[in-house]
Amino acid sequence: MALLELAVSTLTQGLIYALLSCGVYITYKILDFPDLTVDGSFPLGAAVTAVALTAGVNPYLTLLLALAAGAAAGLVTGLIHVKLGVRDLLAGIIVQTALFSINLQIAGSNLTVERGVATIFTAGPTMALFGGLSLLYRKLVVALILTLAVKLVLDAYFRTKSGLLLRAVGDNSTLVTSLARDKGSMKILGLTVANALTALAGAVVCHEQRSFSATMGAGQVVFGLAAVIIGTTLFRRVGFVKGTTAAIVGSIIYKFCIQAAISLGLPANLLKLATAVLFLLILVAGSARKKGGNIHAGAAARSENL
Amino acid sequence: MKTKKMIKTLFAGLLCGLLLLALTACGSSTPVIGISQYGEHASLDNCRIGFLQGLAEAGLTEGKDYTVDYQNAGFDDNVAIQIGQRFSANNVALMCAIATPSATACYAAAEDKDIPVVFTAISDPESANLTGGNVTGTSDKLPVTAQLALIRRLQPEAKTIGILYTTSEPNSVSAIAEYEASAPDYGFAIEAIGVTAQSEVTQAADALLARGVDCLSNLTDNNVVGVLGAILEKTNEAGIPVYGSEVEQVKLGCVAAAGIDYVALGRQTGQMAARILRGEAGAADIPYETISEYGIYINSAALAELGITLPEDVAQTAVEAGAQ
Amino acid sequence: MLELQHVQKTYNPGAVTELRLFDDFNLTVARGEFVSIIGSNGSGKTSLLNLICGSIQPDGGDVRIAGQSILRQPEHRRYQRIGRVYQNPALGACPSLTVLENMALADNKGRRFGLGRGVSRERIPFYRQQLAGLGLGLEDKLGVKMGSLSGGQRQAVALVMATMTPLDFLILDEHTAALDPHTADRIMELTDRVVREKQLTAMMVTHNLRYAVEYGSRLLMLDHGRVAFDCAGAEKAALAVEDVLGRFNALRFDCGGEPAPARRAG
Repeated sequence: MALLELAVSTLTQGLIYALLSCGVYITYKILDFPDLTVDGSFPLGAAVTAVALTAGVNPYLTLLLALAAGAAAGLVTGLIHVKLGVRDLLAGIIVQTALFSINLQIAGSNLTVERGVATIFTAGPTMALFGGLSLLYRKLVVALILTLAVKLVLDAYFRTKSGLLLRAVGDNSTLVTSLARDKGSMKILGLTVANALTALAGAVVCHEQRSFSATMGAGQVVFGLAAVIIGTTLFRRVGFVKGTTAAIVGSIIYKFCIQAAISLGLPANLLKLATAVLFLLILVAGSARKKGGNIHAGAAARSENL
Repeated sequence: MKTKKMIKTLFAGLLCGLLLLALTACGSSTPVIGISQYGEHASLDNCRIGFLQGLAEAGLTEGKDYTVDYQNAGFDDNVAIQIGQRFSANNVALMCAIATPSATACYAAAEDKDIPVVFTAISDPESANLTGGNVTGTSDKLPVTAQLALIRRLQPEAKTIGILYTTSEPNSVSAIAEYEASAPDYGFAIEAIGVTAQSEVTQAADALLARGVDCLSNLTDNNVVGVLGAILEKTNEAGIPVYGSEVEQVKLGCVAAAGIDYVALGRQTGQMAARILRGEAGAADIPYETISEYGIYINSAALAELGITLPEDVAQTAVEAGAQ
Repeated sequence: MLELQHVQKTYNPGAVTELRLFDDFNLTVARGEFVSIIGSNGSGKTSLLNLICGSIQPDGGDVRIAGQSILRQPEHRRYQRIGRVYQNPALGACPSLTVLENMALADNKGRRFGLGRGVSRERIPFYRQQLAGLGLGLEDKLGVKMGSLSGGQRQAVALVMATMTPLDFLILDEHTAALDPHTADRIMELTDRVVREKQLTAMMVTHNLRYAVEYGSRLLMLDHGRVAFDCAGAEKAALAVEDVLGRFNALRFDCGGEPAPARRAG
């Protein structure tokens, strides 16, 4: 029982944070843009949500507010990078730094939401559908629905004209210019979508934890990158697995790794080291399989990853 | 095929690991107390030590009456969340949460199962919404007026007190508000500088010194306390005394403090937990407690170095915390 | 059609490495002309293409298409009516997208890239037909990732992609240089056929004198930012590789003492 429950709550965490890793997938894998805005837009989503929930806003609506706030953050990073010509890493750092203050300005300080306030996990419509489930499983189901919905929308988007062009930007921006499109605006679009998703992840975490803390964004870029790299490394040889699926699976594996490290009872100071070793094992195991396939596919995979 | 096999092996490995650990947790029939500590930090460690002492004082023996599952989040909010979930999944009898992020995470994880949560080292349980449910604990609200009175005794001529704090820590923000409200009663003005990260603290200390403050007073602000050594180097050079907010800071070189004894705070928390474990009261029935006594701690070496003489009556009640 | 009027371009002005490439450069290309451009490294071939496409701006003078100055148009706008095939086959298409997705992208050039279906099923027979025309069997590889095709196959697809929508200009930037001789011949034949079939105005930079002589209706030899030789029509038709080589060597002899200026791009 304990194992099952632990697996369920860890899986739930993995699914919630997968919203963030899907965002990082867009910037890092598709746009080839190392976006550091994430550390700021994740708590931004939580800050907006904590304030809105406390003010009595409909809990489902807070998700839209968070999406909008994150989109705005991504838009600013994009504009700074494209229009002002600031380097990608720096543009992200600038916005991330600014967001630290903005988040505190929005929330006042670290903020918790009372238990009496309904969240997406406890509000009427959720209870009407899944009221029969315990909170643990209700959280899993709601997180699963949200993440799947985002995944399906993203997958569908990637098949649209705009989606194809977005994929082209990171792949070969020269072609985008040749197609008479401004690659800058596509980058801005990608950053906007990615940070909207990151803020959505922050919002759901806020619903789940009933709290916003200014420091909750620390390390989320690293998490997102690790999740995406783990996922894509695992699935690099499986052509039919979509990038979004890889990002989601990567997020789940990451959270299981952390839980395993906690459960091993390691001293706190060794926790991160143990996590790092686990990632390394996964990456090495993932790339070891390269030797098996034909050289061509191996080379293609190598150029695509890491 | 290979990929599938690989993924299977990976998941199997992860699950086996979890299973093993879950089994070790379920194996014992004695109730488990999950202690979730936010990070490695002298005051927080003292809370934990005191908590265990409190349980012992209440007549509970570790190993016989309870076992402890101690976890430390290493100051990572996301790890704190997963620690809470582990405790909930393992159906611990009680969660002891040290510092606000851990308490918030434990309380959220316990929501489903109504596992009692006992917190400590939280300045403002009201604003952290840690009241009303199956939750109680102890607050480490600073004895601000006692500190102001102490500074007035040691530095009769002083006019301004400088304070460094982290803008995102609600504990610090509320303490600053209290300092500013009470300072005029003791004839002080407050110069506070807020930072957002530990890396900014020493720069902020330079700025405070440049503004000509007569002394510095510390809060229990994690970022500031973390670089206290570096701050003391600067202030000693400038000949400005620094007052601490608890005994550990005085040990490090602050001249004096009217502060909380975190071991005592932990003991008080442990005794509350014992009542809950014995079934004498539910966490919901016990209101959270704020420690009312405070100690005066001094560091004679630091006082002497800065040429501050200790008034006789203060010396009599003060506890020497500096190196002998 | 295309006019370059009094174009000036100096690289690194004021620096030790200052290089005045174009000084009052003039060129007019008529509609339907297929211009082959040759010249040694640093003669200004690639700079000429970049001036037309907008990846570099002239210091003075004007670039006009159909009588309208295009200098104020950003690079991507100019490509509305310009198709370009690059020396590097990887630049003509997206390696991680399939052949089909690449074709669909090219097909939508000049229109809105909205939320409509990226690949329209009705167009697949058309793509197939376009690819079948290459004679490389690519019509059966629609689902293959572009990155796993060979350089020659990629360049062939890039050529089809660049010419799929109506164009004012086709720019061929040493597009056979990275290919093996056999594949290069094949791509060159395909290029010639596409230009004829679609009656395109084309400008081809090449290092291969044989291609410059065999293909195209006009030949331009550049040297140090000026037109050293320009022939078209019957004169061009009668031209032999030896004639061009002779002129080429004569140029080298003329400025044999000078070090060749550093090459800028391409």
